[in-house]
Amino acid sequence: MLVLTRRLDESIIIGDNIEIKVLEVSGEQVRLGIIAPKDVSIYRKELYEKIKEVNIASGKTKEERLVLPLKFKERR
Amino acid sequence: MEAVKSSSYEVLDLKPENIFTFPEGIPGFEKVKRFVILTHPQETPFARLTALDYDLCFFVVIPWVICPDYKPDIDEEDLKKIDSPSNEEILILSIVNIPYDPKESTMNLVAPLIINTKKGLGRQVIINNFKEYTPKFKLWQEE
Repeated sequence: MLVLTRRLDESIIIGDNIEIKVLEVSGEQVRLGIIAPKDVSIYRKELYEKIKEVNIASGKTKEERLVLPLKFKERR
Repeated sequence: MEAVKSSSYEVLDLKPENIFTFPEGIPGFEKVKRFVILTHPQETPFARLTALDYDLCFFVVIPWVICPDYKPDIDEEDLKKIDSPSNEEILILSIVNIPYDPKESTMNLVAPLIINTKKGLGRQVIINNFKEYTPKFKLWQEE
């Protein structure tokens, strides 16, 4: 991993079109500003990993049947 | 003409306007880009978001059916990515996770699917107000 030290209002550039700027530092929190092309998706990593995990758990084969619990059917 | 078959469904003739393309796939299934939505009366209110090119489907539901006060704040950048600057034309669905014991089923309120039905473009997004919701919202609350 490349490690760089940056101060408030300083940036790093990744490639020629992604910029990440330190906007605010307070205690354990760092606010970052990111400028990137529209086709680059940006996520908070732990959130992205969680969504990935839930998606993988949710995927079914096309043959799987859906059995609904009775309670739900009764409610409607 | 392409056709897709699923256990409890008839073979569906595929018209291009019924195919939704997720250009980036969805997290965990990045290669899966083409889907159709299949419904079956016995599975109401759920539908199946079914992949065309893989043996894969997801149960999905219109989140307000389960959670009427759901208020997802969808980022404008995400709307632009499905060519839908206003959110009037989009279909919003939540992926449902139905485990072995269906009473433990949950739906993902943090990362709904947004689909521009006119343009046939879809995307899974993380809502701006993700802190207010859970990706594992229980469909059947304990009594």
